Amino acid sequence: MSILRRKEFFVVLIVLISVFLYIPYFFEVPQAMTNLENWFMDTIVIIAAFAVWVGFITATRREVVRIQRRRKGWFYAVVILVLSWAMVVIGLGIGKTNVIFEFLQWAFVIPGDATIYAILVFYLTSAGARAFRVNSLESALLTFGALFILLKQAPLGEVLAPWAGPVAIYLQDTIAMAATRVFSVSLAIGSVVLAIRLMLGQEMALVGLVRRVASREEE
Amino acid sequence: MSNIFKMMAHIDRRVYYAAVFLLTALLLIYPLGLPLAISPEVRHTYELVDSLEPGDLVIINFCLSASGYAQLQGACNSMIDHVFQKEGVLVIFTATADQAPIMLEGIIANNGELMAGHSDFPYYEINGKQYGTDYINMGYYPGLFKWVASLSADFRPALGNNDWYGNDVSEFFDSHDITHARDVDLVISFDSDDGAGDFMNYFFLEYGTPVVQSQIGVMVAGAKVQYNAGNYAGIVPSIRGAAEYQFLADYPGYALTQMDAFSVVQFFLILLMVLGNVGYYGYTRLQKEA
Amino acid sequence: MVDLYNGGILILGTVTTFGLYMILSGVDSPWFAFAEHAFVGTAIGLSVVVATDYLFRTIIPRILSDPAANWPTIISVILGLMMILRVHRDTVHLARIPITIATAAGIAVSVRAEIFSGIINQIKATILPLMGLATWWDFVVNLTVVLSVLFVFTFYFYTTEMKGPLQQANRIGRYILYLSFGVLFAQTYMGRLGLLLGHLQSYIQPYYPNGAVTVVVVVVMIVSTWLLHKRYPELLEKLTPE
Repeated sequence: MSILRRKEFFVVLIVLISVFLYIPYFFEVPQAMTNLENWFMDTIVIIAAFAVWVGFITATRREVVRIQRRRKGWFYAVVILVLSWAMVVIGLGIGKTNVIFEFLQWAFVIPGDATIYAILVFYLTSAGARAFRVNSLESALLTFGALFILLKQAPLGEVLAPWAGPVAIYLQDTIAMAATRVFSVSLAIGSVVLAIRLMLGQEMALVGLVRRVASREEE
Repeated sequence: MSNIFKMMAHIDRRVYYAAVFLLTALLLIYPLGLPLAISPEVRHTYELVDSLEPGDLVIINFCLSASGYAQLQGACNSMIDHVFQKEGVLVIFTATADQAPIMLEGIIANNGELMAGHSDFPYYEINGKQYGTDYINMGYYPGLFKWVASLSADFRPALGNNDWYGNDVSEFFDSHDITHARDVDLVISFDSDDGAGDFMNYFFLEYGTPVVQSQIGVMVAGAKVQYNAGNYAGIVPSIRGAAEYQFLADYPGYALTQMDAFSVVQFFLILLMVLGNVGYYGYTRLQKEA
Repeated sequence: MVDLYNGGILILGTVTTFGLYMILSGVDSPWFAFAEHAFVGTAIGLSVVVATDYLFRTIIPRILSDPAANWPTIISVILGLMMILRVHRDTVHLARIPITIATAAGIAVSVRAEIFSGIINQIKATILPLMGLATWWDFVVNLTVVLSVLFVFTFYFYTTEMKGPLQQANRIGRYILYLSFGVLFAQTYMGRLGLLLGHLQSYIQPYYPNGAVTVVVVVVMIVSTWLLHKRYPELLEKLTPE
């Protein structure tokens, strides 16, 4: 089993998988290769489904340790354990359309998730008031860019400041779109570089093969 | 006078928070009824959905978390109602976010009514369309783009034969001769993650299937890039787009009433930006120079 | 009248929502800690249930319908089960195989499509006509897009010394980026504000019972937090983990 700890084995595996996925996409290939490509795509979905259990088991272990060691706020770990296991037991044991399962979703998951993102409005308002200082060309561009878009996207702004609309549309459809396009291209190039580095064995941390960091004593 | 500038420069951030909260609450309770202009993108999307013909197959995908649902609920309700008004159109509901199925059920219950002889999901009739005959709900599939890629390559196996509730729906596929990804005529994705982007990569680029995205606000800039590049056939951006679509579809909904609070709070932000700069130039900058 | 189910959802949903909002006050509150932990617990449970349900609904029936013909799917399930071995340090090396397969395949599947949607199509969309246009405004728009993309690209050159025309282009690119960040800020604000409005509306309307329950729950939360701060600071210290 020592082969499973060797980097070369995983690099060969990565290269083979990449070849079997890139070639059918760009070339006409025999059906067997297409079937292999489809199998890989099915497999990664199945692995993703099982990976959730890794997170669940790890979270359970962490919260149990927190309770055992009576760390500050350990009773909230009980809340996490009870609720997560209740969801799992009821959802898998009785059914995901069960009334208790849906109750817990509507009571905690939906409001919690919505609130976490909605809270950002308050922080953005505070940031807008404090950070948008017109004291240089750059900050002026930042402020006026935001100002025109705010005036345009508010229906009241279209009534009170109709002149802002064409300017805002121009900024959105040219300047902002150009910058976002560059981000998209940069992201895509970065993804390609990452894929190539993965095939060359330069990014083994992604597959769990990390170099062991020396401790202070060893140093 | 300098005290006023000093106050403007040092307003406690909790005052901002309280003011936003109060303004929002008050305007939701007492809307003003302000006018609304329709953007060309939303109008184009409306016309695209309106051009659906009998026999067309539409995939309606929910890549929505609860946060996105609050924003796009208006778009979900009005667009789904619009699709279901089209004669002979078939619909497959899917979800690529784990929180989405329960919200999808909420939308279906909101727009439909229980079919005769049934008392629970999935048997809802929406605008005369029956579950199992005209539409099905396949529920959640994990893996995001990995599953969409799998769906594009191997349509029926990726979907499976059982719907979200475990019922065998292979009859729906067989009776309408749905076997391959190219049988899909339109994809509509409601996104707080990039579900439409995945369908664009694996359906539009492979088979030319038009993809429409209704997305949350932070994704609008990226969506416009794709729309202008011709990768998306239509976009319904955030709550503003939802209100515009509701207006076009003549669908009474909350997105329209939220527009007043939406307008006033954004003006409040502009006011704060002005006050902050007045305070900065009237006090902080003078202090630094002194 | 509100039934127990909907009433319970309303009360607990309000506690979760406004418990999380209490972080805005800058004041420690046990309501925030409860809401945070309750959300995390239920979200974890939900993820596990829906992912496992997919396996039972789609994959297992496929295998059971014809195990001999679906032997590749059996291998996929075995690889998935190997993934779970990651939780123990003695078996973590076995989990590297499914991780490698998932990582390599995932990156390959996304990159091969990104090459078209993220690079080629974007570049095609940037190569816009500058002559033979219907109006002068189309020329201005197209020219702005082309020049903006070029200038912003020069901002991302990290391995070349910026001098001469490249330095000027880099500076213009930086100005364009500042302008676009302002635009993106406003669009983000629109998005989050829409979220806040949609979410808050469900706690305000209809006025009864939603609005009434919200007011009562919020008052109880504020008063209890205030009392803990003023009268029982030691208890508050125990009830707030951070």
